[in-house]
Amino acid sequence: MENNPAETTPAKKQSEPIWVSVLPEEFRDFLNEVGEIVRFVMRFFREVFMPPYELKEIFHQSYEIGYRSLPLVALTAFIIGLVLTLQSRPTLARFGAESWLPAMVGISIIREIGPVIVALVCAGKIGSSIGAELGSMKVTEQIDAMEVSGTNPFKYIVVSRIISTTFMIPILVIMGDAVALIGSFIAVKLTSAISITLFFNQVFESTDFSDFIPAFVKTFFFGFAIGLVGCYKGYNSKKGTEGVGESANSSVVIASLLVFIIDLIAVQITQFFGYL
Amino acid sequence: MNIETIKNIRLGFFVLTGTALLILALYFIGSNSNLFSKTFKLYAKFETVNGLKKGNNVRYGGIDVGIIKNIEIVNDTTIRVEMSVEADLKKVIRNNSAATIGTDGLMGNKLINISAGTAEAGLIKDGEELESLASLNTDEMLRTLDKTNRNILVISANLRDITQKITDSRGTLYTVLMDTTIAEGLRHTLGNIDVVSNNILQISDDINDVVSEAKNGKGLLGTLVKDTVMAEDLSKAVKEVRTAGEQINTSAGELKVILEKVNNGGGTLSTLINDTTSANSLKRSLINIDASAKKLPDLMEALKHNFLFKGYFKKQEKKK
Repeated sequence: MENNPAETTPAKKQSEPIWVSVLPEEFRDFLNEVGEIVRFVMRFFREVFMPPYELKEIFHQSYEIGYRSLPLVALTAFIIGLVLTLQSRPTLARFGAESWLPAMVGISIIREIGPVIVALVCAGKIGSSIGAELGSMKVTEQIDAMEVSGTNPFKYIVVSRIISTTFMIPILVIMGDAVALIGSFIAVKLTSAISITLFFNQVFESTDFSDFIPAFVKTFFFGFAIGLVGCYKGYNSKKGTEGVGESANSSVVIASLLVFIIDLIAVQITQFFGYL
Repeated sequence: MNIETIKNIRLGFFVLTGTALLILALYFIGSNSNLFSKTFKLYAKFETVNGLKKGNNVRYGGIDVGIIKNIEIVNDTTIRVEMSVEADLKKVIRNNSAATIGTDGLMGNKLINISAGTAEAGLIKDGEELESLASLNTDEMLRTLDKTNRNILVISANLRDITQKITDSRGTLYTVLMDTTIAEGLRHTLGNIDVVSNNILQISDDINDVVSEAKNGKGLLGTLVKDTVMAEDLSKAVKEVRTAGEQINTSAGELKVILEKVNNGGGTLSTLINDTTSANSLKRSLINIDASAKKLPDLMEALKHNFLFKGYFKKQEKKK
């Protein structure tokens, strides 16, 4: 069993530095939280490469996070593809550019809408479930029990979940994109005669690696952020059962916010490298 | 089968499907950029590339057959474009095929169009350079169109003024345009013109006949054209006319000399013509002669009665 010194050894009483004591209490709490998160992330990266590897749990979590989220993601993506196409059509029709509809919707879905929508849905579904699950484990002292029984709770609970979200969200995004494009095709088909071959030809003709690769890469960060926030909030849940709800709630809020922040950073980076 | 295995199968299916979709997407996007097909390089040099970029399409006969691989500035007036074209096109593109920079639609991306060469030219090889044609510049076109628009604006304004004046003045042109009887007259005129043109056609036919007859030596014209004897006579006549003309010319020269003498010399004729005093004197003399002549019958009558000449007049009467 590996013990985290930060958690097991009692913190030594130290006098606060002067610059800390002058800070407002809320800001001090915020800095403390940031510090905790950084330590949590560092611990994750330390644990993830060290054996033993909890593969069985990783597969189990991948099933729960990936496979079980597919219906929700697929339905959401289908509706988004359909609605986006139907909403875009009148504007393009006004310019006589209806034939650009597959290309426009395709690029929108692959570059932005698909990854962000799927990530938000997963932030809601997976973030809350991880937050609540880990929160309840924490408050019912199951995590402490695991430590006592010789299992590394961080590796078993946190690492497996974060790995699962990091690798399952991209797959869900790819599937979501595909379903959204099918939804878009149905919407185009409702208003004009177009074959599925022509539709997908138009989509891929206007799509480049510079559209696809950055959008795909950022989904790994979305997955990592969702898993990390859910696990952190659940793992550090306090205040008994009340804290479970709070963990689930703040997991969803922070994970959703992080999705947008990562998206913004990704856009800036791709712009910097001239992909846009 | 236990639940764990079923879950694993589902997870495997899920992951494999996702991976397959990812590979498919990469393949479709990649094939669009000719990543998975055999290609060869072609070059073309342009003075300006009008915003052409790496990755833009290359088209042959309206089909996407490659992409722009590289664009480099060779010198201040030459830009070299490297194209990666599908290997199959080696059988089609010829040495005299030309590359032009075009646009995909009105507002679309720039691209290079490779035109078909002629059969006599050989097939192009890897790394060879295509002939390039200067493309139509949209800015240039719009500038010209702007000028044309301005001109049309002026012309339409002038036309509006003119039509307004025609309408307001109710003058001849208005009448010509509006009077239906004129139209009727015009129709009659056109009918007449039609008749005239028919007549002209007839005349031209006749002339044609005459000319063909003349060619064949028939008729007076034919004789003139074809009869060699007559041509000789005519030639002789012309020579005689020329001789006569020369003689007349000589006579005219002599006459000229005489007239000059008359004008300049002091002879009687010159005096008569040029000297106004003499002319006046002569005129007076003539008047006097005229007056004398009028008096002459009286004088003669007086002489008849004169005793000196009475005998003479009687003898003359007896002789008669």
